[in-house]
Amino acid sequence: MAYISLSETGLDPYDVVVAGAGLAAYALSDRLSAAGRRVLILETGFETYDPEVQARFTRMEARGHFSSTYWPRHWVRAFGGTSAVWAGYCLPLSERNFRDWPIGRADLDPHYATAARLLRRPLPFLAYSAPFLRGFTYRPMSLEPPLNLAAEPELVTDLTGVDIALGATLAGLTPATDRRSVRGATIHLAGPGERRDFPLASRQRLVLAAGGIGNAQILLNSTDGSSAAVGNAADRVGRHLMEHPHAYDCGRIVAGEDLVLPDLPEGFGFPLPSVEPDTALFGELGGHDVALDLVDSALAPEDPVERFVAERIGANARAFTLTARTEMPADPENRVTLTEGRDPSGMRRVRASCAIPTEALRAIEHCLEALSGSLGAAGAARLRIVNAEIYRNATGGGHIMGTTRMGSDPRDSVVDADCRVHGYENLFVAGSSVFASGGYANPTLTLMALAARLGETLGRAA
Amino acid sequence: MSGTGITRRHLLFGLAGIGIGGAAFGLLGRATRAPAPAPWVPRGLAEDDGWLLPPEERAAFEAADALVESDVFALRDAVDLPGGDLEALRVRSLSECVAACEADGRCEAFTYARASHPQPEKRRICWLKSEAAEREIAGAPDYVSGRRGGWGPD
Repeated sequence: MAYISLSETGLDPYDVVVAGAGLAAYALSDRLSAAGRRVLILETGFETYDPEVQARFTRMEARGHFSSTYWPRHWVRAFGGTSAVWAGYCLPLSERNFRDWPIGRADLDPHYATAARLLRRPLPFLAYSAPFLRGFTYRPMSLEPPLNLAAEPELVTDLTGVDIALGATLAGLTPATDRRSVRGATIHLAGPGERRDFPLASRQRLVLAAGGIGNAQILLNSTDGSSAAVGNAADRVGRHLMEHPHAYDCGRIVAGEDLVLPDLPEGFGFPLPSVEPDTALFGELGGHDVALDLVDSALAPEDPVERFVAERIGANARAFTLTARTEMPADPENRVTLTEGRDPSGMRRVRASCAIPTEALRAIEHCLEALSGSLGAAGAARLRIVNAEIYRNATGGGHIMGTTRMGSDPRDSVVDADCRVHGYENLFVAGSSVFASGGYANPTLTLMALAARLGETLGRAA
Repeated sequence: MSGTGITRRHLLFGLAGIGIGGAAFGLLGRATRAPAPAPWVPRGLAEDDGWLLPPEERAAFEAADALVESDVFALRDAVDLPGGDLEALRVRSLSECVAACEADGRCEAFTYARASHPQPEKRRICWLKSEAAEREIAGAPDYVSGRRGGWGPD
């Protein structure tokens, strides 16, 4: 039995303590287990999702383009975490997406393979791309069925040396006097309904894997009020909050037979056909990455222009609906802060302020215009831009990034290239909160690759 | 002065050569450079439909909304004729609407909504009418209406 009662065992038996039981914790634990380490995962929720626990722990405030009910939908407090609502989109970040990171694609490549294996994906999508029309690269996502840990808890509970404490919320960290390590953890236990302080020995590691909002909340709450919170000496925790602005159905293409998507490699699996700007167009877009998904669609004769275009193309005319996903620059003013009131674990509640900048939306518009030009030059195809879907209805993808940013300069980041909180020997972060720049790709695969990398690093450590 | 020395004359010829060569390449470049393609423009009417079309295609599309002549109907531009609907057809042009009403013995009048109509679901809809409403609505530039046998006294 992998489920334990923390009041009976304490933290002593464990080499690594992880806050949060989502896909980051899974990838991390898989590697630590393989290295023979003993791991304890703390999870606020229980084996099955409880809407009351969810509501009590994630109530928050929000301003900007994302509401106070938006963020909690992607901050699931139950075993399996946000994998319960994950749609299964996978694509690695490309080299240019690591622009603001102290590491590059090559550092993550072996771990991308681990993450893909854990998600049961065939591997060809990791390396595949093909030239498409002028200005574009064809780079489909892997869209195999998503892994929902809540439906398959044994993937975690069967890992040797890995235990789970449910109803246990990491609610604060106590720094050592020299602030070079964490020497204690405050954990709220739902059973007795109280907070308890557990000492941490210097050999023990603590990893925050509680989501982009949760990781910031734990660090910002880790203060006695008389000095900076743990990891927040430079006032960077919670800042650089990023999303992936999505403009659904923001375009249409009507094309003839001569528009052919490149062939996929053997064993690719189920693709989401998608194009991204090539190097030249990426530069013209000002370094904002964009993906345009080409989804097969029925012709819409109720639109007189579409009907006119389709009849000119002829009997073979077909239509695609376009959805755009784009990059949002890291802005320190888009941030998570503490606010009034406390959650049941005693932590102060959070407030998120996050606005989609205009340049991210312009990049979508310019990318659509470029695609229109390339389609027209290549043959019979016409494109429609649905302005309101870009400039009025853009939303996020539930991708919460940047709040514990990775960087080599402690004045401008929270964790270093090894996901270690600057200055703290035994405190680490796993999850998309370490992303320094976000690209457009859904972050699950990358956050699992980072967690697997961290698991191997901690597995090797004495 | 030795045969291999560089004189002022050599220098002048050299400079002149560079100048002439540069001008020749410049002219060659200008002659062979492809003309910049005309930008594709969205429609400049009341409601942008978002389609990026070459100008000649846009013109062909809009031509279908231009006023036409009919032997059977008296057409009035910018007039909506509410009520009396027999049928609503989705058509390609005003002339297709006129022909549909002509071919239908019950059809006494019609109203056609241009592609510029602000409501997308009404664009290029042709309403065949048994009897028109008593009062037409003028000053509605997205519509064209016609009556069999004229409009009577205004």
